Amino acid sequence: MSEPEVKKELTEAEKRQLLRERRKAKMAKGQASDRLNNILSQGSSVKTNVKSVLDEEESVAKATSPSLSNEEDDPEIQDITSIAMQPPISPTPPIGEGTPEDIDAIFNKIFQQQQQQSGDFKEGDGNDPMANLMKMFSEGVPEPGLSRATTEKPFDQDPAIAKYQMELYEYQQYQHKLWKFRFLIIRFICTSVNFFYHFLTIPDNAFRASSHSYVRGLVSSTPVNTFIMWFLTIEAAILASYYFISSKNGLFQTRNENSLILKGLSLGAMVLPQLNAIKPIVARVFQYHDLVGIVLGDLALVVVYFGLLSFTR
Amino acid sequence: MDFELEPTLETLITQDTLKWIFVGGKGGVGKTTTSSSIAVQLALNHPNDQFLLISTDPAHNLSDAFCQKFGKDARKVEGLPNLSCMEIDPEAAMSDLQQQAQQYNNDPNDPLKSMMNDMTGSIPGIDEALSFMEVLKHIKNQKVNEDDSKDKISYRTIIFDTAPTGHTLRFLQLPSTLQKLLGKFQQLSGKLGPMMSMLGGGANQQDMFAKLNEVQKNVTEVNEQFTNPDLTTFVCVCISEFLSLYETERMIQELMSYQMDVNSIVVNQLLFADDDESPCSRCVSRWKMQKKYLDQMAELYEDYHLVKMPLLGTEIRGVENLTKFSKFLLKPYDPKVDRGIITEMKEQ
Repeated sequence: MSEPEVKKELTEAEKRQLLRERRKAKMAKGQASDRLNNILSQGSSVKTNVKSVLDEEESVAKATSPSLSNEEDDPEIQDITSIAMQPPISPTPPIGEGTPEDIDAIFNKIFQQQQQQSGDFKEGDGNDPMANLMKMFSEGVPEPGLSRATTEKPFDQDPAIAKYQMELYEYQQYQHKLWKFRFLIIRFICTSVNFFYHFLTIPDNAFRASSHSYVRGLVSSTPVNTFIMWFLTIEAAILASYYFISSKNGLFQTRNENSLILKGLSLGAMVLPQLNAIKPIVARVFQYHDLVGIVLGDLALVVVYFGLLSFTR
Repeated sequence: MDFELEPTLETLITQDTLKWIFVGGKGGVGKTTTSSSIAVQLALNHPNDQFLLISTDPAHNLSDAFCQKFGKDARKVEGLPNLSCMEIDPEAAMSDLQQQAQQYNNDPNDPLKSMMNDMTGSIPGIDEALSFMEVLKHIKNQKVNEDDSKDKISYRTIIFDTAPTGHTLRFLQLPSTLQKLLGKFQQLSGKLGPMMSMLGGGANQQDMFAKLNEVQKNVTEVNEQFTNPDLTTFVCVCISEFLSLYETERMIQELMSYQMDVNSIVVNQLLFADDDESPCSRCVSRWKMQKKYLDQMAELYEDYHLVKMPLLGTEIRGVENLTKFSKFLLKPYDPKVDRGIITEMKEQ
């Protein structure tokens, strides 16, 4: 290639580069939005104050990293040699990086569409496994140990939120144990006081257990059924308090989330949707299991006391 | 420094570094006619090189523009042996994808396969994604070994006749979207891997992700070329009306945000009624409106090649008519001299 041709080629390339710089300069610093608004106003459009995608990008860039360059209307025109020798400032960003598709929104749209499609074609029939699967994905599959109430959607979690949810779960577990311990102390004290009060105040050794039926048939001057009455009253009060406090603090829910049986039911419901109907029943059974456990524990304590008393004869 | 920018696409036709030319704009402005005209002029000006015109618009028009049936494989244009055309078929691409997936999972009862089919059909932009995949596949197939260089593409330049603006912009966002999609799939495989293995997929999952990573590399490579102004340019096509002008400006700004070069604008369907011998009142009125927006464009786009193309008396179809019409891309239309073409062009 001869020198004049080389020169001409360089000139063409330089010309293209300079034109690109000019075009870019005319879109910089809010001028892109001005251009759009100018077109709209000259065309008597009803739209006003539109913002250009270029200006949105600039404001985002400024918020994240402050610019150190001077605020000039037009950038200086660079010398072609410096342009040619300049290494790329940053790796080429992918096209569309400025306004990338929100991938989480894409996934949510997909799952909702699938839910709707399955629901539309099989109305009233909740047995479609696809719909259930998509519903599960869109509602979020809770991580083991995490509360469903605190887990929104799996694709929305970032590490900070996940860590918070783990800590929240551990706190709820701690609260559950703490309240159980408190009630245990109260139950122990109440049952023991009730027992020893009646043991000490009821005369004639009437407040005793015996394996002999004639002893059990003796009638006491002081009725012993006050012990039963007090025992049941205290138990009722404890059970009501425990149920109220556990429900208010979500302690039952915490325990249910960690239950292997309920997790198994959730998994099984993917292929057998009828299992969804028995999940609340199982959850209720777990709640009553706690209450029944309290009653049985206190009864067991009373039995132990009577057993210990039998050694004194 | 002041440049006089010629109102032609001569620079585009003569520039020897361009590999990709996108032609796009709002619906109905003459994208297919313009892209076909550019392709014809490139073929005529470089008879020793091969050129490929690809339509990525799901509503293909290339076959009608050239009055010749084209398909998903490149076919030579009759009368222009160095120009080929191709119409991407998203449905065919989808079935190819499903066939490829079958090599990883042949179980017809696999619920996972059905789930993936349903999911992929629902993704916004799936048509554009499939078109892009087809383009990558065909471009990969076109690579020839020349002097052991595997990076040579056999076509000198590939021209894209794109879909209306929104679809095209989504098409151009694909590299970024694909990167995020791959990232999410990797997260999903970690969370649901055991369940997916139970339902189906098994050991072939790793192969699938390796394949996806390979695709991502190809996409990144193409993306780098698309953002290189010496290799890629975008020609905006519009008409001289308010909506088209606004849409063109928005599109140019959006393309700039993608770092894609735009330096040429083609304004179609101009009436040039000033020099009519017996002007009709409608044409005069409409031309007055067009001139208003032309003046605005001249001010807005002084750093662009603003090419003004006339509205002819008939449709521009067939190689012969496209050849006559396309010369105005290189030599500005002069209504005083070239008026005859309005009525001389015969219907194909």
